[in-house]
Amino acid sequence: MRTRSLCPPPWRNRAGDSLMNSLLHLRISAGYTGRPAVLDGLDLSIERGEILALVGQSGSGKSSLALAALKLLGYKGGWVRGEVWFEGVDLMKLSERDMRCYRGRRISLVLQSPASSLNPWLKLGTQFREAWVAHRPEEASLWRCHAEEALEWVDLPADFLNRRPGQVSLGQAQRVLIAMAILHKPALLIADEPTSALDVITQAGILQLFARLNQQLKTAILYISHDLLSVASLAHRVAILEQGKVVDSGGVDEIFLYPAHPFTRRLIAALPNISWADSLGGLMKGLRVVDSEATMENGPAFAVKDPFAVKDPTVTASRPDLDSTIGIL
Amino acid sequence: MSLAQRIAWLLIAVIVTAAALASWIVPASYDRQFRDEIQAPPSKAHPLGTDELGRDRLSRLLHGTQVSLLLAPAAAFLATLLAALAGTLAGWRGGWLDHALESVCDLTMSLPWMFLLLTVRAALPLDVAPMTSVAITFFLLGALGWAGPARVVRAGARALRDSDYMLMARAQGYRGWRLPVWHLLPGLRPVLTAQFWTSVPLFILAEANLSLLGLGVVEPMPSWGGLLKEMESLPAIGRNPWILAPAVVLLMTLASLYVLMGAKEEEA
Repeated sequence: MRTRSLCPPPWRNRAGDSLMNSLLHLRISAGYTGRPAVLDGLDLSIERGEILALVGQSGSGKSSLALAALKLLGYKGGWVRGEVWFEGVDLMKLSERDMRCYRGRRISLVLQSPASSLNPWLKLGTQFREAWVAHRPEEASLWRCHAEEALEWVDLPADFLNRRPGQVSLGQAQRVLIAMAILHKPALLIADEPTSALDVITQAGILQLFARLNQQLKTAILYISHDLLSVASLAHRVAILEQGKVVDSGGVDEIFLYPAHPFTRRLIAALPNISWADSLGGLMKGLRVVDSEATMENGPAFAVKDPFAVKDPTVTASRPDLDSTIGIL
Repeated sequence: MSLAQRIAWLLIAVIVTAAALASWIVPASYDRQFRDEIQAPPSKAHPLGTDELGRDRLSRLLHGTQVSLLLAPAAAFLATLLAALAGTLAGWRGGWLDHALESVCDLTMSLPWMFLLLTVRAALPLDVAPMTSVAITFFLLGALGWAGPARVVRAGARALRDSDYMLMARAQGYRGWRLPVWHLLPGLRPVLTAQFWTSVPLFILAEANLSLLGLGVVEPMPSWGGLLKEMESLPAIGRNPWILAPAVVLLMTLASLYVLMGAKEEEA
């Protein structure tokens, strides 16, 4: 029996406005009922294949932005107003039914708490199957094949499908979530502080994984974090969020080496040790390809090589203790 | 496992086994009359004696145990099922449906349970066949006992609806009935199990009360409530203390269930 496709073929440009040519362009205000707006006239865009890091203090609205982009903020008691252009379509104008066609298929989300993001009552295989069937009911029987492929991407064996969330570590659970997020090869992956609950070694593995996904699957990533070091190592571009607005944005080198906005300077200055920050600056200089297009082409620095193998005259300090610094940050 | 829990398990096992093997333990049917042995004291042939119609008390006690032990869990299952449907729907959908359910639950629970049960049962036909009376009692207990559990289920459904994993499921584009059925209901299993086991002793008592008042299972079919009628006369208890047997079995069953439920709660 032929099954009717649940989603219309929507991924075409419906407008010629340059604003709509970005992969995702947000112009929104958002907040929670009875409280001041968390995002106030925020304007942010992300290009195809780009890793954009969104940095801000706790409570600055980073997680609200992630949910607002998927029109999920209402489920947390919030509201969103404005425009969310994705692949030329204003998602704000879509019905909940049409919006479901984008969620998980074209835009995926990875939350910061892997332990609570997986349904503890269901086997991982069941959760993969449901995530597959949600968008490909006509190919339901193929779910295992695609789930195993997604698990392979995140370096997990296929037998994880038989496990329950309680039987995997935090790091493995985060990899499982990422595997579910890439099940339909989305154009955009929104990662909301995906490493904040993980130890430094696992963090490094997850960052490498993001870099690999970006390079090989060409998935754009909106990486939301307050961890400057991970941002520096992964992102192509950084946007600084303060009081619900993007106050600064630019290439990684530009933001870290020549911070323009006072808040950006405060963030950089908040690094625990000034000599360390100098080292980081030198490091960035030596490591980064200044031309952002070239960076996009070559992928993020994280995946390129060991940063400390780079010979740079500006790096005068000895090799810093990365693990402890990530912990402090 | 504590000593009390072991004793509770042992008592439940003995009572259930005895009820299951009723026909083998006492070959006489629960409605067979021994006309020469009216109100007979305990003997080898009738270990608990006979009642005023000459029927074997042990046979009636064991068959009555069968009825009560099957009826209460069946009614508890029906009540839990209704509570699951109403509570999940209200907790999941929210809005006016949630308010409506809350009002119905408040109204139902504000009325004294036994009064409600008696009123509704009295409004239904009383002169019915024994099996029909069993069915009516079963439906009545189930249909009137869902309000309390529904409130608990609704609260659980609301908490799960707002959980991170439900948010993730939405972010993955789950659609239609699959979201509440696949993601919500499995999470409600512990709540539903607890509500079921809490309802069983309540319904055992409710059935006993109804039958004691002649509104539950009708003669000649025995049930614990019906058997307790014999205890209405205090002098009769003094003369024939063995007529206390149904009360003792009822108390032992309830006490054992509460001990086991308490242990389960401590584990949780």
